[in-house]
Amino acid sequence: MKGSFIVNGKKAEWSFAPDAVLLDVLRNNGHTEVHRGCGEGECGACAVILEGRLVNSCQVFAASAAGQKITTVAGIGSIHSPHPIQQAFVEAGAIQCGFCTPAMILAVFCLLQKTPNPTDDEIRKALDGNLCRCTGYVKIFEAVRLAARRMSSNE
Amino acid sequence: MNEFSVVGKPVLKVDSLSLACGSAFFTADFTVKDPLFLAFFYSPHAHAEITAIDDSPARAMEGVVDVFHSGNTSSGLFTTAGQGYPEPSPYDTRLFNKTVRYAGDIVGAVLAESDKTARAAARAIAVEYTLLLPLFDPEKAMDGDVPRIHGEDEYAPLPVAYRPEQNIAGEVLFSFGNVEKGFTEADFIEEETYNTHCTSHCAMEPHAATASFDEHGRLVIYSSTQVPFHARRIVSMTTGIPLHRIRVVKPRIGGGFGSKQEVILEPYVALAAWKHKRNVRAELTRREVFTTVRTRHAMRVRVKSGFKKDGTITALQMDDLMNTGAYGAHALTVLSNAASKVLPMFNKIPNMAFTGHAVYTTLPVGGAYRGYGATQGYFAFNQHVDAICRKVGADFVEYVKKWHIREGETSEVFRAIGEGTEGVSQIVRSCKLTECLDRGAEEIRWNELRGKRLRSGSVVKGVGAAVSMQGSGIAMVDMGSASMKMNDDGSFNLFAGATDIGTGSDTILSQIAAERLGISVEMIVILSSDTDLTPFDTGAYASSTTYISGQAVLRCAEKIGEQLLSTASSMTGAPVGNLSIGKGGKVINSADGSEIPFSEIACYSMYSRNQFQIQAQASFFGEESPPPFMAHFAEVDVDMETGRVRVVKFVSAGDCGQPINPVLALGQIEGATLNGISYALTEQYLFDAKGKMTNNSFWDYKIYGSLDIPEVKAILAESSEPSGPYGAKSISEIGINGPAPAIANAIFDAVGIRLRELPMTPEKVLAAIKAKAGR
Amino acid sequence: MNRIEWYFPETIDEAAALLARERTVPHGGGTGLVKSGLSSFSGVVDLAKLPLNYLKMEKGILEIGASQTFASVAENLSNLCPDCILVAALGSAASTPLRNRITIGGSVSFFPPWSDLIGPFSVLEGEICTEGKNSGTYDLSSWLANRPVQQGTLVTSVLLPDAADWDSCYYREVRVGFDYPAFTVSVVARKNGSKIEKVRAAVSGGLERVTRLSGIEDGLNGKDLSQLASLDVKKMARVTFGRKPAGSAEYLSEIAAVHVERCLKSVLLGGGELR
Repeated sequence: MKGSFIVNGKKAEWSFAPDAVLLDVLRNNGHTEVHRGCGEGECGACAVILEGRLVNSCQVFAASAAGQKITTVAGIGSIHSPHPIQQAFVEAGAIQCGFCTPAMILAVFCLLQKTPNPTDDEIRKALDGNLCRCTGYVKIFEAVRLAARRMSSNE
Repeated sequence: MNEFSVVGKPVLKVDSLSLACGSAFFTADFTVKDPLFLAFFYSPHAHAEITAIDDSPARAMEGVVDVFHSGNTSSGLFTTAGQGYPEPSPYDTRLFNKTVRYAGDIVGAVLAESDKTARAAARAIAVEYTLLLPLFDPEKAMDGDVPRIHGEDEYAPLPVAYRPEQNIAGEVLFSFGNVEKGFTEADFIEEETYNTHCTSHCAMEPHAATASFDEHGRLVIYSSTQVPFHARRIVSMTTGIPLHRIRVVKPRIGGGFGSKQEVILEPYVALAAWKHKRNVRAELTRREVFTTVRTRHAMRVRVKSGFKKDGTITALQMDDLMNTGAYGAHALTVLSNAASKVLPMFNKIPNMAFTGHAVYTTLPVGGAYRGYGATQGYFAFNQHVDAICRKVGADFVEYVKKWHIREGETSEVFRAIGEGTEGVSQIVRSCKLTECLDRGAEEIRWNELRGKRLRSGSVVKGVGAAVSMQGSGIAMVDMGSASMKMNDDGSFNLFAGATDIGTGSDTILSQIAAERLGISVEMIVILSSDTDLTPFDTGAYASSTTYISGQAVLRCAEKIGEQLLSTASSMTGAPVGNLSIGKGGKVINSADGSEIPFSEIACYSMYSRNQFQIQAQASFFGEESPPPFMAHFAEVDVDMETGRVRVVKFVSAGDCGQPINPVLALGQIEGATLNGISYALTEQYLFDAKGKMTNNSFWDYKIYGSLDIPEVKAILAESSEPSGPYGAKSISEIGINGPAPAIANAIFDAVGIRLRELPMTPEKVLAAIKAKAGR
Repeated sequence: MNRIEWYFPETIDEAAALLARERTVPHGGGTGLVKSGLSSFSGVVDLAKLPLNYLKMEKGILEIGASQTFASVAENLSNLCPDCILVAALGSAASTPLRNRITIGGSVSFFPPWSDLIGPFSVLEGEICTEGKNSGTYDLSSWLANRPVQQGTLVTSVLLPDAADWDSCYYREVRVGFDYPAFTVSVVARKNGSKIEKVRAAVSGGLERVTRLSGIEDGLNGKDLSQLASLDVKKMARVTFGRKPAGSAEYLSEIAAVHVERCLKSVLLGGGELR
């Protein structure tokens, strides 16, 4: 079947199987910044923002997301013009292997949109679906606090 | 303290922005033209002989290209362990074994036009088995009347003890002094048995490999590997493809922790691609990673020591039984480390004996895993020391400070145990363990909390400590190399064989080169781990990269420095003796203070006279393996009614010599600490009665996440290791050794029970609390 | 290959008509269908366009449309009725990205053994409203007892007739923060001074999926708070479990009772030692 999506602000028309999940459709169409860590909704590496909400793209049928707005990490900033959250992750040393990072950054993006100055508990909770095996989260939490500070002082 | 300008600074990780923005490529992200997909089928039985494979239902499916299995494809014996060659692991497996030895053993692989088809076809294949008796209990593995797991052909390529007829995949024995005599001199004997369990690395990126062809028809393998050069050698060995026709490229790697030191997928994609001359991809699911890749070896550790009333240990005996599972990947080295990285800690014990056996069972295969062996050994050792302290009324911290190995000292153990060879005698030249203990104790409020059993309702607080050491590479075995060349603008390309698997080694190696040449890291353009482009390196394991590969880079940069001076001398006529490398990319003439920018030197060398490329290469192999040290402290709350243990705070204070990059070093400690806590409390493989893993997903194999992490404090107690690059030692593994024993000791401090078996689940804790209360 | 057709109805009648077809399944947006796969179906009815994404409180009756996700229920209720036990329960279920997908309707349809909805639903004595073949209103026990009732039928909303003004406590037994619970404990109560006007308690995850602790409720309803101390709650709260990866049946049964007692103390006596 066919479906159109608004991916990172651009319209995309893709064909896919009726039982295809969004993760596969995104990756097959070049969005390799969306990673597959488990395919079962438990690691969060595939998370994207769907209509403003963080979702595991491996748990969303592409068919059910047709017509909707999808944001991947490439949609919030690029290597030439990184988003403050991306920059904060770099500066806080929150990235080791970086496999979980794109989805983790999107989780933070969703958090800070709603809660510009999150408490530590709110940070933990916002990242509860994104597993990281490298960092122990210490520097990820630091990155979130850093990004929050910067983003709220700019606004 | 040395004055560094790049080393010791929190330089931003060179690949981190690309990872944050999603522009970095992992193995599965490469697009290759019209790829075929490889999917595996596995043994459902723990132990069986394959009698027939009917692949016709699969071959009949549209889109299926080929099916590989023992009925049509043979390979020689080899080991999946990516180690120095010949490996210290037995050659006990083939690409497709006729006997399957664990539920999850690879039986064959389907090659098809799509991943979906390949997986569907893999399910359609009918395999007939003759069931053999399984062997699940490692304690029984060496008995005469149990099934023998390996046959007549398997062998060890190195002259090491290997006795498959007794299911022994590895053996380590050594002793000095006379332990029996030592025991008779003791006032007390403490003897207990500890059991550690098998766990999964859970690197977030599942294993993947893609084989494609370059324009000359050479095979290019992109692989999520920690050991690209070993992978190339093993692919050639198992498939017969000439090594010079193979290129292995390591892109970004989504974590390894040892799991990608195993060469699992590469030979299969190579075989399929080479046969059909088509690009081939393989990507394991998380479930496949759990069941078929590798685990931390489970180990039974029995420790016995005799000691006097003042705590002086007169003799110590350790007997380890390690379950290597179906194959002996890393069996001997992990077993060795359980002694060689543990027993030197108390180097003044006059009588010591170690017996270790790695045995085959029909369970998933053990392998390299962060801390390899030391983690298991220290779980027992630190609880043992805590028990001694409590018996003689000593404080753990003070006791360890009194007895631990110090600078200028050695241990018999270093010489006795290597990794497949004899060990290498070495003197410890940097050790700040006492400082680690002091700073850690202060941070955890040791004196305020220890023994106080502060209570709030049913919850009791305790603190516990542990110490550990690791190594920095494998002495006389590991080798790293690097080359550099200079560009017109005074920047340098650095080509390192070393493999950055997320640890930050690309950054650290760039820092070392930049420091030596007085330039910023931006002027170093690093490319690592491509068997065509970079020089050789044994790979990312055994805490080797900073120490071994770092030293290679430093030597290489030194050679570059010499060329810069001699070139500047030819340019200006100034004697080399007057010239030195300044800061900011220039050579300084001390006679007149004049400066020659690197860019002018580069252009001179390339375009002016006697043109040549300023370039160099260097290798380094470690003649010793200086240990990093760490003190680990846990503060726990134990719920007496439910057995739930909550780690409130964890402190890891480590001596890694001079940290090349403190942020990355702290990150290694923090990550290893959380992995270690998770290992201690929740992670475990659950098996059904037939030996099949029943919890092969994150749904039921629980690892710690953002909600679970306690307050973690990592501390660096800097020292300077004379043999290391800019004084550096390793840091990547050691942090995982402490959480399990520190938490166990803290639980004892809180409620007086010893948890000698991992993981320390609430149910086990509650049962122990009840047993103690006599209920 | 099985042909699968997706439908996106905009009205409930349209959806109900589609669901009356053979091998046609509703999809609320959650993960249940992704996990089970679509291979046994020929039609999928996507419910996203139905006007079921609402949550309203009228005359003390809380009505939650089937398309509300756990995240939106927790969010909307935290403004409307912040002490409601559903805020704690649905706000801590699964993980952030999953809470953003799991819907009330889907959850009610599956009511898996690890549900975070079923315990609170039981103590709030909720009802399930359906349209289509078996349209009607069902209480929890009749719903659970009659799974075939869902055939060709669409869950449209749940009604919680008396959801506000309870003191509540919710506990989920998990191995790590992001886990499905081995069991849950739900306790709600209303007090008047030192008198217990009404208390309700339930344990989910045992062999009977959800167990109302009527013995405890009967022993406390209408009594003085001091009555709690005289009940052997740990004995009365014993629920039978099967073995789970989180622990043996005996262990789970024992600690579930511990947590029932803690929740009761927390709700009735306040404070306590809960985390």
